Amino acid sequence: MTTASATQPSTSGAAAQPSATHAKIAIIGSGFAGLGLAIQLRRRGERDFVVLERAGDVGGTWRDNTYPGAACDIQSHLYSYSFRPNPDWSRVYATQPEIHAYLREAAVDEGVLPHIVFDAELLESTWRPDAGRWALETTAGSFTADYVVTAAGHLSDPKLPQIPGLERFSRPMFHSAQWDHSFDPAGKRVGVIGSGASGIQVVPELAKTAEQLTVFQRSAPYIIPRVDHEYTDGQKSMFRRMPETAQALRDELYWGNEARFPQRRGIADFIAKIEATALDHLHAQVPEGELREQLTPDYMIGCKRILISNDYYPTFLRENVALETSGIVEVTETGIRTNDGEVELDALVLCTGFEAADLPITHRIFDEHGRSMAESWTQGGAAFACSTVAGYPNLFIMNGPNSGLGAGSIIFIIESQIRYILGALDYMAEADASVIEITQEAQDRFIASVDARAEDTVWLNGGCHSWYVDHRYGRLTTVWPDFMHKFRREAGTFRPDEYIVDGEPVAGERELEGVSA
Amino acid sequence: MVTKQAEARQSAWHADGTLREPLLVEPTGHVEQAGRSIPIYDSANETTAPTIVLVHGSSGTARGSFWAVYPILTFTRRVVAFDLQLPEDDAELTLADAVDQLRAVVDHASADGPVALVGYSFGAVVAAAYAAEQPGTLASLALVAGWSKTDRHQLLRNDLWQRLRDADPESLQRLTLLTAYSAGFLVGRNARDWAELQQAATRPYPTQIMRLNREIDITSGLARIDVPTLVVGCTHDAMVPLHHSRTLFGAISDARYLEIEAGHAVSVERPAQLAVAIDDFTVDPHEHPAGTIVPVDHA
Repeated sequence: MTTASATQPSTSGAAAQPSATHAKIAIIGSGFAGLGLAIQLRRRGERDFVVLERAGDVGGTWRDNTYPGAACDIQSHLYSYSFRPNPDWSRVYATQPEIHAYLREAAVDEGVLPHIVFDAELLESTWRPDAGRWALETTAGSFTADYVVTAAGHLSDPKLPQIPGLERFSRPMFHSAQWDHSFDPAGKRVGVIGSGASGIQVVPELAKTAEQLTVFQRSAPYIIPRVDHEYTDGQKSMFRRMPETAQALRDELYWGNEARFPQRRGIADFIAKIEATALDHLHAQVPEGELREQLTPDYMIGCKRILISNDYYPTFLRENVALETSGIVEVTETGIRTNDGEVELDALVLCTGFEAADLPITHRIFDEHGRSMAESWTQGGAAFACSTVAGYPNLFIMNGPNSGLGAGSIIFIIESQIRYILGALDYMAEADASVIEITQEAQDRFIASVDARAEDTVWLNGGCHSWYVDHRYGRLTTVWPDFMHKFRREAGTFRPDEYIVDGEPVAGERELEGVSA
Repeated sequence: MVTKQAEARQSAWHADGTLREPLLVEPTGHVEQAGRSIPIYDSANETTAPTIVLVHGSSGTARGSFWAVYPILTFTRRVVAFDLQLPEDDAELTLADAVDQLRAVVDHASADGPVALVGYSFGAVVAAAYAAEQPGTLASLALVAGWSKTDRHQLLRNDLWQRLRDADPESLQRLTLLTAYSAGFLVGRNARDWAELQQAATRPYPTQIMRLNREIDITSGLARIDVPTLVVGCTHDAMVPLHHSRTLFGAISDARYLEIEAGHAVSVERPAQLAVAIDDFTVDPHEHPAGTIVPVDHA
């Protein structure tokens, strides 16, 4: 792994620990979201904040997902902070080590490291109305904070498949996000469960050395070509010498991604184009026959994430690779029993995704009555402006409900949320106020508007079972059902009107002022 | 709340869960004007913001100009587009005739209140001419890649177009590709999209519109336009170069100006950017005061 920074992130958090008992702001997580907010706070001269990180390094998803072939499927010039452009991206779609190095370098350069307490997993965070503070218990001790920002991400807690006998398997078995780098697939019979974004990156890599690779596919994904190339030294130098060329590229990539959103709204012309692109790709790489049929999706394109790969399909033409689609009956001590028979395995890799709908962090945040945020969500995740939750004052969620994307860069969403939070903090400072909370009515109104938009999307109409939907309630809670541009307009600029500040409705105050004037 | 908003949207799905057909192919109805039927495409969803009326460009059809932009606008708005009817037997199309047809469509679409008129390219000329003639009838006006007076640069291209149209269709196709799209967009297409663009460029524009394009001069009417106006210029436009949009911005008193990094075919190169710009503007035309150069919110 390349490490761009000379300084290793500290694992002790010694610098922050003594003053960390109380901080104005506590940020949970140091991935793209938490780190981005921390950088902006530092740049504004804020020093009274702490970042609680459960692991020993920054980077979140890009620290954890070290599996062979791990790469981003959004272009790096867009999938990076607008306020820290990187002219040196090696290629259109950077791989995990390069993205992780980018984040580590950002943490060091921006002076954020001293604020981070590593190995501090949040156990519970409870609102204390008397103190007007949050009380946080972590594996690195107790903290209090005026404001809490959860930046724990959607793709952070591995989800294991609900398959009978999984715990019985007696040979090496691990999730793609917890890759066992001591494991050598050479000469081994390896099974992979899952063919989503991680699976299709892992499979071509494992196939290179495994004696036999069996991919257990639950549903076939749509895959389009990966239009990828390395940037030449000349191009990198151009981006450095003329930063406006990098900005123009970024804008072009942004609007190119925005133009994919109508696919998700089921617009026939857009669906036809992207479906033809995907099926042509399959047909160009896999000859007619049973294999091609097994790799042909049975739902509307976009209902699940559209994947990009040039080497996934060809992998199945190798002699040492098999695609198993008959359905898993159970896992045994030595393999997997399918409806077609038993496959003996020396190792099993679970590429089964993450807990994205029922976010684990929301089970650790409690209101003044001890009710967890997850419990308060009787119909699945819901936050005003995708940021604030009634009953949970002085708390902002990043990458929470309806903040993911089916077509675009999550970094744009993260930066929108940073703007929102900074706007709220500015407002509170100017008003010399201390407690801010959204009303339930405003939250419900916002969610009704999101739900109405979700109704017309392929995510709810496309005939698939995806992690975008909270299947307990049939609601689209994970992704934003509109353009990124709309997210920034609706959830990227703080407006106090619908909040209660220090017990008084802001809008009510204004109306009264109007009357007296 | 949910139900009301859901009704306000035009769903992409039929009640039985199957996808609707492509838009702007089959007209939803016709507007009768001077003894002829103008095909219209009315999304017919009920929204509180003004209805949007789209005026297509020199390609001659609503689908040609707006296949990508129209459906996006219907997410939040009632949108009405139409196909301009050309005189029979290759008789000359006049600007007055085009304005008359637009007037009939606007009248049809204005039942619930003044509409937001949006014209693209030649359609922007027609829309601006209409707005100058009919003060007080519109909620707002958006002029995308439009112009007010045909100049030497445009005549040169138009000359070449006229010469190649019958004599050398393959060269005409190349001329169209060269001038419709920005260089960056052309270079960046993959093989599949490039083949599609080439195919689309084999359909010649109607000669009657191309002849009328030579004669445009609506300069004297611009000062009479009294509605909030958004002028959208395209940075790399080789058909209607940027100076035309800047001239419109200068001449229309209540105008604001947005520049999009695209060639003339902005609705193909940046459909989402164009559609959300129109949506944002028509919801709140005064968000940016007259004279504003609308800041680009960089990604």
